[in-house]
Amino acid sequence: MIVTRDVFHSEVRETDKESDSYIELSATLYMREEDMKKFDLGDGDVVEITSTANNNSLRVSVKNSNEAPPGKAMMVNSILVNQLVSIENLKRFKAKIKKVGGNVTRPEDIMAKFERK
Amino acid sequence: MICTGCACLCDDIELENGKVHNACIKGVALIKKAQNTHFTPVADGRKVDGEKAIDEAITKIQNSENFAIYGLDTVPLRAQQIAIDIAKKTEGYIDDASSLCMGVFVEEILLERIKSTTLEEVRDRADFTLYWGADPFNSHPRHISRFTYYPRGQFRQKGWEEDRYLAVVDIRESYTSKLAKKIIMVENDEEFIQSLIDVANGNTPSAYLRDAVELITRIKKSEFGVMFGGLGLRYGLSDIGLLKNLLDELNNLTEFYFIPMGCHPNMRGFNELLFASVGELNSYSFRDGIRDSTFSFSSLLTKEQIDTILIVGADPVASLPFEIASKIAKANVILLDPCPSYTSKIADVVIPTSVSGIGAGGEMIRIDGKKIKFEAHSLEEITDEYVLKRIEEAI
Repeated sequence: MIVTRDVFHSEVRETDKESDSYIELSATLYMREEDMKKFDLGDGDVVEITSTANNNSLRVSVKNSNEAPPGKAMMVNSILVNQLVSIENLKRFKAKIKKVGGNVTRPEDIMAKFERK
Repeated sequence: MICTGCACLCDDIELENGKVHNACIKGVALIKKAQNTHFTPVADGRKVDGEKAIDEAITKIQNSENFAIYGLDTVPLRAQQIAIDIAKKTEGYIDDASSLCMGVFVEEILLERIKSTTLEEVRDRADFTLYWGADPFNSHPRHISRFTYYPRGQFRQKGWEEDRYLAVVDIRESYTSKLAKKIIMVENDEEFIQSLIDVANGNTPSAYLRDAVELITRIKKSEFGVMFGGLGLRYGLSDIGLLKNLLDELNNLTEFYFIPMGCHPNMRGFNELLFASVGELNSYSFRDGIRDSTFSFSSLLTKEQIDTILIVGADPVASLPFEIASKIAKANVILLDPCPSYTSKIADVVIPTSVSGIGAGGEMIRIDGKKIKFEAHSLEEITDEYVLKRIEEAI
C-alpha cells in the first residue's frame, strides 16, 4: 500500500475534521479496477486492512481509482492510515485485506485508544 | 497577502469583503478557517482565558525534567527563534517534521553538497522539470502554474507548449503525471537512479533502459534542469549519496538543480535557524549538545523519554504512526495552534494562536531558501511569538 495526499482532503482537514467528507476521504482505499476484481471487490465494499508492519487493522471503503498504482492500493494521509504505517516508512507498507462489511473506522475510534497519563 | 497554506507561500492573495482571491482550495480553506474558527484556551480540562493558559504552560515547563519542543514549521521565524531559545534555556530537546521528511534533502543543500536554486529562477529559466515522488497537483496546487510548467518565464516565453518539458517519476499515475510529457513509473527509486547514472556515463543500465535513455537524452538537450524531490523519493532512498551522485552526473550534462517538495510553509526556516544556532537542522538535544536520531521527536516518544511537550502548530497525534503518537498522551502536552485538532483533544494546555499571514506577521523561508516577509492582516488573536516570548521570559 502507498500513502498519498489529496487536495480535497487537505481542504476539508482545514475546515472540519469531524465532517462526513473528511471521514469519507480518510477511510477510503483506492484500487484499480483490475485489482479490485482479483479480490472480488466492488465500489463501496468495506474491507479490513491489517498492516504487516504492526498488525493494526482498519475498516475502510473501497473505491475504484486509476490513480492507484497497479497491483497496489492507496490511502490518503490521515490519522486513519497512520494506524498502519511504521516510522521507517511513512509512505509504503504491506497489508492484508479482506471483505468484512459493516461500518468504516472513524477517527474517534482511534482517539478512544489513546490512554491518558 | 501571503498564503501560508503550503510551502509555495503564494504572495498574490487578495482578501476582499470576506472573499479570497487567487488562492488554491487549500489556501482558501486555511484563510476561511482563520476567519471562522472559535477556539477556546484550556488548562487541565477547564476553559480559561489565554493568559491563564500561558501561566499553566509555564508552570508545567518549569516543573519538567525532560522537556521537548516539536512542530514550529507553520510559524514565523521570530517565533521559531524564541522556541529555540526556550529549548536552550531548559536544556530541552527540539525537533520538527523535517526529521521525518525533507530534512535529509535540506541538509545537503545547506552544506552545499547539492546545488539548489530559487523558484523564480525555475520560472524564468527552466526548460526541463522533473517531479520525483511528488504530486504538486495535490500537495502544492499552484506550484505548476506559478513556477514550473505553465508560466511564461523571462527566457521561456513559449511556455509549456514549446519551451518546457515536464517529466514525472512516480510509483503511480498521479494527477501531476497526467499533465507531464513523460511519466516513468518505478517500483524501485534507487534502481532507476542507478540506471540514470549508468546512461549518463555511457553505460547500459540493468533496468529501465528505454526510460533512462529517453530522460537523459532530454536532459542533455536542456539548458536548465530542475528536479523536485517529494516524499516518494525521500522514502525510496536509503542512501542520499546515490541521489547526490545522480545530480553530479546531471550537472556534467547541463545546468541542473534540486529543490525539495516540502509541504510546511516554514520548515526550511526552522532548519536554517537551528543550523545557524547549533550547526544542526533538527533532532537536537541542548542537554547533550548534539543532534542524533535518538533525539528525534518520534524516538523520544518511543522511549518515553520526555515528560512535557510543547507542540507548536502541528498535529502529531494525527500525523505520526499510532504506536508513537499514542505515547504523546503519556506526557504533559502544551499545544499552541490556531484551531482544534486531534492533538488538542489530548492536550493538557491548549493556547489558540493566530494563523501566520493572517493574524501574525513576520518572515518565513520558502522551501527554496527565499525569505518571504508578510504583514498581519488582522490583530485580534494572540500570536505564537507572544506566547513563546511570555514562556521564554518566565522560565
